[in-house]
Amino acid sequence: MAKAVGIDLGTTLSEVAVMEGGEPKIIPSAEGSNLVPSVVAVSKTGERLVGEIAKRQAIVNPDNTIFSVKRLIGRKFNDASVQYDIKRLPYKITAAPNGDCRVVMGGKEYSPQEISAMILQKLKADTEAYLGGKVTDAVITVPAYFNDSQRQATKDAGAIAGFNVLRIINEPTASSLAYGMDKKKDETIAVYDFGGGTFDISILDIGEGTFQVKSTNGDTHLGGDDIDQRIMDWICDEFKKEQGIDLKQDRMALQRLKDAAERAKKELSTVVQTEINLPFITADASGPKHLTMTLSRAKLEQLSADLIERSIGPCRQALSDARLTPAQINNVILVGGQTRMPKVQDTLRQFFSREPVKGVNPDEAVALGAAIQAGVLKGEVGEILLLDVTPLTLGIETLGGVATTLIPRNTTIPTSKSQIFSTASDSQPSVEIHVLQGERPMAADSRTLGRFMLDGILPAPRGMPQIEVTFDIDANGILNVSARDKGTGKEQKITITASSGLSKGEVEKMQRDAETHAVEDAKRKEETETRNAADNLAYTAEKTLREHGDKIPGELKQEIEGKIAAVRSALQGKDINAVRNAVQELSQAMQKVGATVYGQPGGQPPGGQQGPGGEEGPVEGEFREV
Amino acid sequence: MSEEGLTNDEIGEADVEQASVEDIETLQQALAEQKKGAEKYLANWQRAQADLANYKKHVGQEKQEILDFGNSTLILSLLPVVDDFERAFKSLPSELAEVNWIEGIKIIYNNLKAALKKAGVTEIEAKGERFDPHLHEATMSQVGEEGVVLEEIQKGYRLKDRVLRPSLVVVGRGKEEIEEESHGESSRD
Repeated sequence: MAKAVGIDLGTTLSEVAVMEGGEPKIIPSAEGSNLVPSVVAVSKTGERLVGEIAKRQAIVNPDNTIFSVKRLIGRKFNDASVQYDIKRLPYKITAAPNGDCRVVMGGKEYSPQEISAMILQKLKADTEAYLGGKVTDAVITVPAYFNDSQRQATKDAGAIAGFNVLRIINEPTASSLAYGMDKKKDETIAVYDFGGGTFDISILDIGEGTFQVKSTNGDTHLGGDDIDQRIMDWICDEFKKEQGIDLKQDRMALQRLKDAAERAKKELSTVVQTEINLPFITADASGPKHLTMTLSRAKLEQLSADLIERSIGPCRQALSDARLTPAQINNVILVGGQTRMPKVQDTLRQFFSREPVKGVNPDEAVALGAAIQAGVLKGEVGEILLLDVTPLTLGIETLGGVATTLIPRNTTIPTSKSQIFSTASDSQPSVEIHVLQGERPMAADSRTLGRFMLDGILPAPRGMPQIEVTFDIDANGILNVSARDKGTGKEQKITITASSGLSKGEVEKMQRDAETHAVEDAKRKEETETRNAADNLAYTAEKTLREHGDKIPGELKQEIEGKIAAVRSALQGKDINAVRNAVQELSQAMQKVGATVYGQPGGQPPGGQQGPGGEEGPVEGEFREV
Repeated sequence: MSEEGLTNDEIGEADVEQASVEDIETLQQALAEQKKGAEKYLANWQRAQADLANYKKHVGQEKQEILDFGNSTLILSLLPVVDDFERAFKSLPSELAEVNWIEGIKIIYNNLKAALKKAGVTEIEAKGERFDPHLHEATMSQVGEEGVVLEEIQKGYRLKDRVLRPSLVVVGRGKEEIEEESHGESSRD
């Protein structure tokens, strides 16, 4: 079945996303970028250019390069906003007989719908190349404040591009979907969208999967680009103070400054200070000049404070239009790259007195949400089984009280996993399967889900019997654990129902515990492993003496017996270093045995040294993968 | 389910009178519902399988993409260093030109370029070529031969067959014929 795509048809940039494996995913353009500039041009040679390519030639072909056409779509030529934009846009805008706008490109008139369609066609072609098949169904987003004629015109643009437009949805609705807000009931949320060139705030009511825009406001000429400009101005001023040279006169220097300013701004979202180093930025009679500056986050915040503050006025207005106070907003979600800036988040936190919701790439939220909507409309989402994950790791206790993982947390269910275990001592008649849940590496710190015995194991040296343990979780979270002796075919099982009713809080607590105890847990686990290895070595040494005692000189035999006793006694104590030392001594002595038995210096002792063993443990910890 | 059906069926055969028409209708309806359900589950299962198959294909494609272009972010951040070297040599004071130490720095620069070349990075030709937005980005236009790159402000690079960074160029806009070295003002801001 053909896929349906979600399209964020932006004023300056556009994006397309599709549902893949139940998750929305941005589709890269043919040029390898996730974002496609909303620019269309006809070159001097009559070639039609769209996206990045069109943008690159805008400066030499201003009359025939159309951008920001979203500001014109579905509007009348006499509209005040169109008249305002005409003065700012370099290409020719005319009136159609029906009063709509027309733009002139390559000596021909086009409707804004046709221009938008060219952008959509490019997205369609790139998507088809990526998915390797035809794509016709699409959901396209528009700003919440678009009226019927603007929505219809956008839909027409989709049709011209060859799309079957399933639905036109509001950008803030799409963002809410990307943030999973559709699962909430009866909430009022604020969608704060601070992009590169425009700012929008929308207040939405959510109930039973429906979204209602209560109010919307914004500033069509406020964005992250303004902050870049502030940084550039600051750098220029500082440089002029220091060196007396005005970089603004130097095209080349300005280009470098622009890149550096943007980079510095992005870096300051994660670090508190960044270096701006531009060697050989310019030169005067005294020689070349280098620009080296340090920009702190505090300085950036000072430079951009009023711009960020400017976004709060529209927020206030939108709330007042919706007749709400900031405290009545249940969630604030962040859209647009500029919301990565900590100061923006701080400002919102203060204004709404709550932590804004993060987690979705703010540049992609709109397109991702549109793809989710497209998936819902095509029956890809909702119809398909909702797959759950196991919130906590599941495993069994093995030698020395170690919790051995069978199914790690966040594994998608249904799933099953088998692993082969063995006995821990010679002629062990039964094993106990102790089913554990939790993130801690030791059984004692994990939660017991159940336990059972598998008996009737035939007498055999330890490590020989093969006990296959299988964990199977069905779609309802019911866990079946079975243990089967591969030798006798004897089997025992236990059924544990849905995670034994752990609340969400309990799950989170267990996950947090695991993090806080990570270091001590790792140490304890390592100790256990050392002890298991020591025990196994002593066992192997004893066995070697038993089996090859006649070939070993009496003196060496005595030495080894002494060292085995040393290991055993160290294992009784608490000092792990004593265990390590005793192990080292014994394994050195054992090498001599190897040399004697095989007549080769440095040979491995018989029986090898693999795997822990020893004390009466529930189940021998070593296993072979099935 | 099937066992139940069988039992009912047997009863039906044994004693037709007792099985009311309604019972049969109810069962037929239940069967139809089950069939519909089964079809839906099969369809969803097939769709899930297809989704997985397609997803696997994409993962393969993406792996190739990562192999080919995974280092492009790193290379993009190194290119300004190459630019800086070139700027430094361009403004090299004449009294230093013959200093052997400078020669060593030039070798370092060449080594850096050789390493990039080995990674598949090649320079884009710009000056004197016809302006091509697939390769070049116009930053301004000047009086000069129309549609021709008059000056390269920043070198452009390809990574394998993809434009990694277009050349930033000044493009001729014709008019006063071919006039070398005429510094026209930018066409617009």
